[in-house]
Amino acid sequence: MNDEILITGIGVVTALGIGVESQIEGLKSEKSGIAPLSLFKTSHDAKVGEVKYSNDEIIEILDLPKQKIFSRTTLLGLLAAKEAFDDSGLSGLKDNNYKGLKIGLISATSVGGMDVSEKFYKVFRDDTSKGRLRELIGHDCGTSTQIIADYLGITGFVTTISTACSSANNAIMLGARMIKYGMLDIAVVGGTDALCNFTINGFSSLGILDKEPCRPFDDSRAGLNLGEGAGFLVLQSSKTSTDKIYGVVSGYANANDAFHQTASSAEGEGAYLAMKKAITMSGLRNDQIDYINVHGTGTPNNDASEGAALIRIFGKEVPPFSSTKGYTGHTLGAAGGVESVFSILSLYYGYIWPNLNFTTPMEGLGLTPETSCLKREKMRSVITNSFGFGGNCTSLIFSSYNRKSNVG
Amino acid sequence: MLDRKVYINSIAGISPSMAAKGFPDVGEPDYKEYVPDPGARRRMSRIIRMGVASALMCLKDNHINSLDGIITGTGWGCLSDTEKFLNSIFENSERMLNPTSFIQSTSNTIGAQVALLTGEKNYNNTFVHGGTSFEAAMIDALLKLQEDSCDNILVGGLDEMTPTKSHLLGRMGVWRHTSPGEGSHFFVLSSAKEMSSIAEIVSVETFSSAGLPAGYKLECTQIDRILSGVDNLGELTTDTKPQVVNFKELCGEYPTSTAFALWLACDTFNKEHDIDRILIVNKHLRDQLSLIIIKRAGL
Repeated sequence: MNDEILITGIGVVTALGIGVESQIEGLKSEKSGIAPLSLFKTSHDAKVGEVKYSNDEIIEILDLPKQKIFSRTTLLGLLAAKEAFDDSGLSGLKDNNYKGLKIGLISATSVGGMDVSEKFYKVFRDDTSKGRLRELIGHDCGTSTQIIADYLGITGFVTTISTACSSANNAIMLGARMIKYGMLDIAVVGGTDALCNFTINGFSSLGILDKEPCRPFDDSRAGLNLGEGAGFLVLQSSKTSTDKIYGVVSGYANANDAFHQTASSAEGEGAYLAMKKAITMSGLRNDQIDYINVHGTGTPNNDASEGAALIRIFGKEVPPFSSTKGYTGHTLGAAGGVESVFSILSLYYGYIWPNLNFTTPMEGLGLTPETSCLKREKMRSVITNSFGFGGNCTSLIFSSYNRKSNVG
Repeated sequence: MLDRKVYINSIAGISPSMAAKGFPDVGEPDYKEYVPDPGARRRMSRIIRMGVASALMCLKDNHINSLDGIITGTGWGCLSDTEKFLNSIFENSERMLNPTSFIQSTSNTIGAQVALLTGEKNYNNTFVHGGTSFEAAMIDALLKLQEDSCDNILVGGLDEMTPTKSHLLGRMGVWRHTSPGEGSHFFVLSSAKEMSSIAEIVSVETFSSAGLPAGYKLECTQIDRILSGVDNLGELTTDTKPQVVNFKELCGEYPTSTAFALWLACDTFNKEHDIDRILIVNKHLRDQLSLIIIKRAGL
């Protein structure tokens, strides 16, 4: 068994821009990436976190064949996975057949190729002999993952997870577990999701889209803003060699709220269990957690439930925490990937990211997130939470890497 | 492969395609028995009903009370709810939409519903990787069962065929070579061998879509029967001369047909006493190739 799961590469794309550098800049400047929807026509007055590049522009950046149809989910995933892969130095080994290392890709998505399928379906429903079949090739969630694997030249274990908004955290957890038990040496893990009309209408039908910028953990919060993006990590066994180490995956746990298909329980049972089990696994004391990137969607239900879980675990000593969804919107299946990258940046560079649009603590909970960007000398461990429909809750813990602990 | 052995201690399944061919006890059951609330039953689309009922059957038949996880695999996900919600967007010009089909369109709905109905707050995961979704769910369960505190995991593979899916695959020419299928099969995987244990899992592997790597050797070459879902077994070699059964002639073509094949393999152990080791080989359309080997429990 491998006890240490090293984080050796990160890649991300969100409304803040393409790449890690633009995220750091955006997060530090406290400027939101959320703006009125422009990608497609809808009757909803929605503010969203769009990636400000068209599909054609991304195809150009990635040097992909122009005649092929790619879902936006695939394109965003390719951007982030490629950045993480290059960052880890793995791409340099491609011609050498990766030195025989077992490399896998575990991606996550909730909408898959829906952005393309819904265009197909509009034509198809009027005449079932119409509609370009090529547009359907990317519909299944697994297709985006397979295209990313082919692009990176990964021929080992490849799979896709879909547990709504906790999807990417589960992908990261599985990658860590596969390395722990020696089934993989290296795992590229994360998630990707694009905005589409289906999800805009879905969340609107649930009445949880806020027409204003979302206000996570604020007493006046009235819903979420949808976003899009992708976030990937490269995890490596400590038995493989690497130059750069951002930190280690020290804890992970998945639990189910088993309360309601879409709503979270008032006492935050699923969130409590996920965080509690992850902390127990890491062997850390509560006071060794220096930052929590909460799920914090901005819906009245999620934030109250997650807040209750935080108090159940940490009592009056809740560590500095924030939701970064005020910057990016809720990127659904990608959220765990994006926010894991944000949490690793917090750990590695010593930043506590601010929670935008917060003014008043939720009644009865008295929880105040960090509202300005803080710089810390030393960060020990950070938690990132992702919760989804179906009661799926997953928490991950990343800890700073102590090179001495690896000697002998 | 892994230190702790993993057993299949309970199986259950619904296979409408097999039932249509006249096989008894494999069709859709009276759902009232599994979902007594008529409102809840009505809201569930067919795949949710099939999934939830077969999952509960798998738990009930063998009196398994505590679960450490629920893991599902589905290649196509909840197609009819997805289509229903898409249609409602167009029909109602995006206004006053009923959220039920949107909520139920996410692929993890079945795993979530089973957790809700059984009150299980433990591990819950869903795989959606085409023709190897069920295999990935099994691999996740094998790994999770290596942990000390983990004893029983419910694992299922399920897909529904809808008129639209069948029509579209027909337009793509898929039905020229094979016939449409669907089904839902669940298993209790356990780290404990019990009297009720049916099989032990020897290996579960998935490969890139190109097929087997050069020089590949099976984890176990003493195979008594091959359940095949491929046109051609290619490089696969065994030390024995096993009978090859094309399992898709029974269940039809769908991404998680290997969950049916695993059910069939376990059923074979129950019925044929000279069969001890079974290899399942499959490839769904152009997806990845997968291999599952199981042997009779206690061998």
